[in-house]
Amino acid sequence: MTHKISRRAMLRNTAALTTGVVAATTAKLRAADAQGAARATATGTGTATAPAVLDHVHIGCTNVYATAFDLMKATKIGHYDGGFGTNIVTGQKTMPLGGGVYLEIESVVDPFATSDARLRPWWHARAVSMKSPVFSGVCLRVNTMDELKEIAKRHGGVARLNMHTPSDGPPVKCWEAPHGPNIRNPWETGQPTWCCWENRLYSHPSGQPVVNAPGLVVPMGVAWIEMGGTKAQMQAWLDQNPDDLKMKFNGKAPGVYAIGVKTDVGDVEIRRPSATRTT
Amino acid sequence: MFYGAHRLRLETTLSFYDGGHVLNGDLANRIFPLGANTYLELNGIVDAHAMRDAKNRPWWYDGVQTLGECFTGLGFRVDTFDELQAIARKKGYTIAKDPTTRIWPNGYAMRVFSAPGPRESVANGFPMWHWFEDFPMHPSGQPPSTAPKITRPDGVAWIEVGGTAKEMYDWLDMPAGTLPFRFNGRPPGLYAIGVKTMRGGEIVIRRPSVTEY
Repeated sequence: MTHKISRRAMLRNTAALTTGVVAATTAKLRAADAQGAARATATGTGTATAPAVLDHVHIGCTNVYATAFDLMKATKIGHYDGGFGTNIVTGQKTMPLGGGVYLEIESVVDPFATSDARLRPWWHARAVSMKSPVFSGVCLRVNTMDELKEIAKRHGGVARLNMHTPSDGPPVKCWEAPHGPNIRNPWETGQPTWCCWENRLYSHPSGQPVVNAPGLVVPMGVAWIEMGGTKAQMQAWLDQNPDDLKMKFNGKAPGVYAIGVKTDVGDVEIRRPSATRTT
Repeated sequence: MFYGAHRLRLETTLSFYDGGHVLNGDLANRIFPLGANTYLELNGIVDAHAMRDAKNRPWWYDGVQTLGECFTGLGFRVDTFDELQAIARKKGYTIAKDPTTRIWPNGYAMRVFSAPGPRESVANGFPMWHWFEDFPMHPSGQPPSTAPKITRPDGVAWIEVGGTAKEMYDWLDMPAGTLPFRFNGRPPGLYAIGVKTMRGGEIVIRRPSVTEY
């Protein structure tokens, strides 16, 4: 037996559903804000914003194809073509890790650009000298541009637009901080940066489909991230408890050394040299 | 290659997919299917550091460095390995025991045997021949990335080459007029292709020929 539903009733139902989604989302955001406020108070920051979360980890290398493919073979975590970076001399492969986090793998793909130091990313020389892909940095995510600007200001910099153009779509844009003429790229000294996707989180790189290769596992988020330095140093830089980010510290020079990724068949460890330069 | 493919799509409205990397790892391809079992292979370097050593450079490296993006050649396809061997014998060429192998992003290894070698053929402006071991996996038949306003191609309408008809058909050992060549009187090489589209009309892709270097 079928029921006829009038168009007006359908619209009413749709409106109700839509309102429900908005209400639920707003409630979640309010809860997250409240949690952030409580945590901020507990850590003595006095800032009533949600804590930053892990957004992506970066691997710099000399060959983006071989590195991504070898990593996929070793971990069974899938990847897709991330396209080219802002200055068009680098290419990227993206490996979603679950839980809104992704691994960005990048190399210089314009051989005629490597002779120009201004175009070479800082991690390129390190990957060449180490003869290995290197962990080059960690980026955390905040929800709003106000939060990102506040963080940039705290570190004496500003937010900068970063962009890459994937093969199947328009440029993917996010704002990153802190940057500025008077501050060194934090990644070079092993410090995390922050980013904000404004209203584009729906197309976040962690949520895009991977190439359908045989035998892939389902990544379910980052279980831990091994950093150099100490917890106290990191807390001072972040103004946030590093435990929120599942960071553990090995006491070596600041930088990223390894990540543990939860998957449907157990945890996978990805360990590479850190690209950090402390001089 | 990353940016080149993006620009070519903006220019032509034809789309491409990531063809993966060549087995030695230094080069990778973006493939533009052109319809009717043909494709455009956009070949690029993905290990810039490896190119510091001249022995790792592809044969077209100096030409591209000087001319910029350019056409490097035409490849013909044969149905059987026997046919390829016959062509190789005629050209005094020995087919390499190991085929060119391209690793797709999903891990599939696509193997292609070729004759004669690029330095004996396309580098001089004349086509080479290929035999694809697994034809259902031919690059022309794989789906390109979706993108706004892309056009579905329907085969190559014409091919603009240098040299003369006699030189070309002597090289191919085919009756004159068999293929839709247009001869522009310049040095042998590939200069442009016209691609038919499902919408009607054609899309022209024109670049310098690497043989002009």
